[in-house]
Amino acid sequence: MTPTYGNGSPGDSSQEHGPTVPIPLHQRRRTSRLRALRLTLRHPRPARPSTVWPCAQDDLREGTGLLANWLLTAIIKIVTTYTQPGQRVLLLDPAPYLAPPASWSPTESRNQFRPGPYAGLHEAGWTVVRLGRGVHTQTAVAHPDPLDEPVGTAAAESESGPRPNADSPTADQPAGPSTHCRTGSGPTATGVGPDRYDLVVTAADPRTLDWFRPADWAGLLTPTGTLAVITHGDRSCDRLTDPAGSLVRAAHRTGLRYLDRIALLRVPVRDGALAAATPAPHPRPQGPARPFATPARHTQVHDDLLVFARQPALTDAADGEETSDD
Amino acid sequence: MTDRPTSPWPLPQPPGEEPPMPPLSVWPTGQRDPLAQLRDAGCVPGTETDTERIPPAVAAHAIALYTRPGDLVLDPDCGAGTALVEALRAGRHALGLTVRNRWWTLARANVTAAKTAGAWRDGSVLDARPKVLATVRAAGLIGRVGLVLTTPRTADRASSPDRDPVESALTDLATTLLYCEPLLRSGGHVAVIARPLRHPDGSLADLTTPLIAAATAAGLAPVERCIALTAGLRGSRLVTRASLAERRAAAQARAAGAPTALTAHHEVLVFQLAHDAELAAATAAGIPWPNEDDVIRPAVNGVTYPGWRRAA
Repeated sequence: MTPTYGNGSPGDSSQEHGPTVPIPLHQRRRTSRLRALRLTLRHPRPARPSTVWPCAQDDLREGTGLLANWLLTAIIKIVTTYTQPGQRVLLLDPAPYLAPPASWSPTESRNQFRPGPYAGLHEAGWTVVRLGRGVHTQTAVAHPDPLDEPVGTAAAESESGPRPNADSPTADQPAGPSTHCRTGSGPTATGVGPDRYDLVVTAADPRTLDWFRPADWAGLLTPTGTLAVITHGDRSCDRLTDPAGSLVRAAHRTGLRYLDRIALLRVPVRDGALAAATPAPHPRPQGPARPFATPARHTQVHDDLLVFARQPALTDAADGEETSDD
Repeated sequence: MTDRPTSPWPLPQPPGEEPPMPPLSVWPTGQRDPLAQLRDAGCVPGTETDTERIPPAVAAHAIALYTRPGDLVLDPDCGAGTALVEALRAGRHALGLTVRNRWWTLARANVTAAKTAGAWRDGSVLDARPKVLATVRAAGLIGRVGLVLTTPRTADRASSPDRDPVESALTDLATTLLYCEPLLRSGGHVAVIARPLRHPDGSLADLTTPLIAAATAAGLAPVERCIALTAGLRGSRLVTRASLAERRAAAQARAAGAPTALTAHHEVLVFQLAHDAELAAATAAGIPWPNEDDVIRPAVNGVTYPGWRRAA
């Protein structure tokens, strides 16, 4: 009779094929768990960023209140591109532009708050925590004393550790310290001094940039830290005002290097084209008989992300930055 | 012929098509790779050696957006003349200037090729510096140009080691804008296509600010900043077309802890005559627009017009 190769009796198979059985099981379990983890975290692969980021691809992310979907996607991309898991991220939200600086009260300002394009930046704290980064949110308000140092302008803050299971980033409580805040740090944030962040993300309307200078927060960066500013060109008057000039100048003064200017697409890319469903914000009479000098004004579908880094970045090549996260 | 235009993928929007209305601030001009764009435009072999050329799709988009058939498109530093070819193909007159003999030959050949392919508008390439535009030789152009389409060129600079090529290119472009401003017709535009440039230490050169400052000094008003994609849109993704050297530099920067982005776009800065920008803003605010006959250039709201004086 021909040899049975253990198909006939289970006793033989345990002897002959014993070592081969657990290997595929083990492999399959590992990969499925990894895939599940990646799906849970919705970890976008940050490999090789380009200067244009499509940010409005997914319509249904978590239905957070104020934060726009494209802005959340942009923050996820910024965090995964410029930090590693375990590093610390500061989400810096300038207060609404119309907030009276003298008698500023968080609740009142919240009631008369008209959501701008960058409203609700703190809500991204949840997502940053799930990406494995420690997050800290602060609100910068226009301080009555302009000579105060930037950490003094912090009116509200919250922090979570780098643990993904931190119970709350508490981004929605503008006043008062959060429940698990570190010891002795009140709303005045006097104890921020020794803290350093690997990434400071902020989003500011161009008019807000008159008093809110992101480069002033460069003191909070680690020696390899990155400052990311989301803004857009101001076309409110008859001509374009580009925010890059003042930002780059201020950043150079504080020793930051202008690393990149990235366009964030607010319209999705579908079927190899830009799917622009939004009508023009200012509809103009545009017909065949339009006046000869009327320019073709564009619908603004992109925002600008300006990335700054600490000045000497080339000496830290052996700092373990090329890990497998990217 | 070996370089016959081939289409490796079905294109949803062929290049050169009229842009959608209202136009978006991000131009989908990277659907074809650079060499295929040159083949589509019918450029002669050798045009690809002009690495700082305006991509034909970007030039076509700008021309379709900012000019009408019969307008005059001027490139005061035209290189191998891709902008001129696209202007001729779109039924616009084209005039280019260049001082390099090599580019002059190529640009002439490209204009000839475009006319052979059926373009019947005037196209000419002058072997001259942009300074000629301020002399009496260009007197016939005053108030005639519909679009000045140019790009800062760093490679053609006289190689002086003590000057940053980016800075000298910007300085030359600022002077050129000063010469071009009197030539613009009312309602004309200046479009500067700027590739993102990096300093030797890897940091990005801020081109927007000096360009806007130069144009403002020349009497122009910045009205738009657009993104002309050089990366292709495929499905729902953006496919970057970066050179090997650029990918290597990005990998090194990434290893050093400061990841730099691969170039996927060219920046487009659009300027207008200052009083045109004011009129456009008045239109947008709902103020009734005067008739074409009422708009006479020196009499717009009593604005003293510096270019008029200089051109006279």
